[in-house]
Amino acid sequence: MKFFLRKLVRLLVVLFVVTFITFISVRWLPGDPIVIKTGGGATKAQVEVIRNYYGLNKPVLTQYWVWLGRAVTGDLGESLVNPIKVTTYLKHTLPVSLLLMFWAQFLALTLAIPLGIFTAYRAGSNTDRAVNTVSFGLLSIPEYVYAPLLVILFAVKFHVFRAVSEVYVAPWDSPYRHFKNFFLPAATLALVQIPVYMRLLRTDMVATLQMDYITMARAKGLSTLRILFRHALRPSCFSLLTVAAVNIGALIGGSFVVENFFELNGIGKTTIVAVLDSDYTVVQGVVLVVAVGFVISNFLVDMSYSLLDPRIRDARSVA
Amino acid sequence: MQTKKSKTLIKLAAVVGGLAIVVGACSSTKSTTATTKSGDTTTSAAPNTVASTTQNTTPPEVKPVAGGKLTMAIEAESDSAWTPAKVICAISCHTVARSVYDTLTLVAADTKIAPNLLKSFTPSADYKTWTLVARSGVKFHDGTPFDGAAIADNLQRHQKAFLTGKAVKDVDTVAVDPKDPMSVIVTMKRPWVSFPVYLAGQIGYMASPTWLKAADADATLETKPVGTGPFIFKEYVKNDHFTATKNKNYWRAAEGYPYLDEVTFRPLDDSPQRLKGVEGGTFDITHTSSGKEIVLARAEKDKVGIIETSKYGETGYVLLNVANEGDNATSPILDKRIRCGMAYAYDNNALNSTKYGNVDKLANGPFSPDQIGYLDDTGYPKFDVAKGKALVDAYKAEKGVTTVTVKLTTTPSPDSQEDQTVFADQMKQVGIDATLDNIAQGQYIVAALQGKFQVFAWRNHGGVDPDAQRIWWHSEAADPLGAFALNFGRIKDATIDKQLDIIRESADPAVRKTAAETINKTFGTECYNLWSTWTTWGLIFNTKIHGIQDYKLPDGGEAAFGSGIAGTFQIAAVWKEA
Repeated sequence: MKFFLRKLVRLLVVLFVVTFITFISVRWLPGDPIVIKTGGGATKAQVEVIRNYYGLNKPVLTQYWVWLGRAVTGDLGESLVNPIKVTTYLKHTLPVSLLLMFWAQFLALTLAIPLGIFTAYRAGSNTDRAVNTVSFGLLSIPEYVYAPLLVILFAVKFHVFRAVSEVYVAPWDSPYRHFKNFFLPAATLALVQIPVYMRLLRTDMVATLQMDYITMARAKGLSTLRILFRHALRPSCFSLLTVAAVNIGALIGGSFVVENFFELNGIGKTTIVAVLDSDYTVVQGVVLVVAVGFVISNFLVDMSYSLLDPRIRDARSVA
Repeated sequence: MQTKKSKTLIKLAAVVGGLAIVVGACSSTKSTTATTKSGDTTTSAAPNTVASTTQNTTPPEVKPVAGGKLTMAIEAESDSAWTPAKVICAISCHTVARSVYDTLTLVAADTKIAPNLLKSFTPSADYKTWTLVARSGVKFHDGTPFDGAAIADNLQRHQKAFLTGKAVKDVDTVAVDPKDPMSVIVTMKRPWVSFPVYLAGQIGYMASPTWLKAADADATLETKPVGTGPFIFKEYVKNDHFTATKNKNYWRAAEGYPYLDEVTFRPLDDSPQRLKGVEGGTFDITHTSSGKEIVLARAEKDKVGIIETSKYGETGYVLLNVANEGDNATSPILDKRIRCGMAYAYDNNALNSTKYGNVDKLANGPFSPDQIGYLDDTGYPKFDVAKGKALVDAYKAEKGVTTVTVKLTTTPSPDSQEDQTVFADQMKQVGIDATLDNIAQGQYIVAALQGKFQVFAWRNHGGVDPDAQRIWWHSEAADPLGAFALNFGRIKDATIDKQLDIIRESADPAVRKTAAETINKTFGTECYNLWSTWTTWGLIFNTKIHGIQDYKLPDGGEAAFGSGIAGTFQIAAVWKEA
């Protein structure tokens, strides 16, 4: 229980700090959302009236407290530029980003785990060296380079996937169209993660495979696959799991680039448009949701440690 | 700066474009140094370009097919609400708006104004009163009848609107005729001859008064437009798509309109992406003013169709701040010799013949060849470094200075930065040091409105009638620096003011033409701006799409392509092969 409370307090502190910093910093953005809203047609006095209506003339701290008071009740306000609630933006964009990140993680882990295991098992071999060299190469290339390369290859040359996504199609509405729209964006994000995951897992697996109980398992005549997947993989997953959780932050950052490149209407694209419009409330709402998601995902990873390793579970229960 | 329009530029188009009520004076910035040649009409390429324009009219023997869904990639999202008085309407916005709204009037192919939702529009002898009569039997999508009260409600909302209110400031009263509920009497503060032209654009979009009233109480309804148009609003996801479905009870259904079952508009500010989307089948049609993409589309003639048009389109130019006040009072740009020296130095063909594919025509003034007021020779300086240097040297000698510095500001996009340096090199040739600056997107329009710039990249002044330009050039719109003014350069020229007044009040086409030409000459000789190119728009579509140029007037005859707004078309007339 104490563990949960500690985590909860930390969650609240993180949210407070993140939202406060965002609140202050977005107000430093150049431009004026009210000028954009009125198309430049309003006089300065009229702009001031609208600014007052939205409470933008109050001290920033007051504005923050008002916003926070509403946010805790689930009211994230309305865009300053468009008559659209922030929750409406999130309703449309959050599923897109979540699915993009899910598929990216899924792809990355699906490829990285077998590769990590295999290279650990064959550590020092030519195959291991080759895979490691390739992974170094992959690691050094950012998303914005992968994206056009994948488009040129799979969309322009072979016409397998779309260079620009359609209007969002949910996987349950049309799995095929969803796959066509999401594969390249997800692959772009995944390509950056695969070498990280693979190398981490490989390193931990190499150490695990030298443990006494693995030697014992071999001596007992257990099959290699059973040893690798049943006895070596689980205790080798801590670093991978931790990094996979921390990488959600990197995925969110990457999704800003990827969503814009492939024209996926996710929170990344929404945030960029909102920042350009100085649309404070939308930026603020998105940041809050991203921060909550990030903290919760890390919390869940913390929880999963005890599932993977009984020693941690025992230690926590004693504490 | 010119080709790959950055979000900033589109935003600018959106922000000031809201005043493009007179059919298409939408603006966005454009390259300072870049320009292009050619691209002239809707159906033929200009002589100095590779011919590449596709005819997209349906031959008489071919019967349009009803049905199908169409997706169009548009260059910009529209900001604010979808109510006609609030929407900040860039070029793209008009094609979207015309799916759900009809305008009161339409621009005919001969540029005369024809009734659309109106049965008739009649001026008094002095043009100070206009009687608008609603077409009977038309209903809004929510069942509200279209009548005099609906017209009055819509026009009165424009009178109160921040942006469109500036365009109708000469409207005094709007009231339903007590003798006829289908008629509206509009009185003017002064004679206003071209008022019906305004009714063919944003001012003329008719929205359901029932919906507008509901939206007054709940602003979130403002994004769910209800009009009389060929399509009924279905869904709007900001920055992603706007979808509308066929209005089976459309008042022009007997003519076959609309043919499509559903239309979806997707805003994508990246021009190459839009082109790729059409080539890859994600989109059926897109539009672009990027010379680079137009050239690419020409090369893909076997895969996609392209219609190029520069009719009534905008002019790209270098906007100069001539406000004689405040920080700007010491600006060398206030001196005509410096302005004209810059004009002589400005080689608007330099980038356009190389980087931008020779798609546009080189501009010599604000009016393009299809607009009233166009002149072959406006008196605007032709590229001549020696003459430019002589003017600048004369200025330096008189003022006792050795250097003249001007500051060119654009947005931080790579194209803009590249073009900026070319501009600076050109200015250097005549002895002017151009310092380069850029400001972030959201700030650009604010700086223009407040006059906080010296030299800006810009694009504006499309439209079929010169009266559309009043809000941009008349001194009444040149508020002091720091205040928001639509006469961004703060031009205060008695000749221009007088001619704009004539254009507003005179019914004599010859007099209006002469007035517009005088304005053009004044711009030419005073060098208020440095003219770059007349924008060519490309409509790029998959070859199964037809009818883009087919729109008919309700009472017979052809409508002007795009109803006078380059880069747009009437979606009701478009059909798709099965």
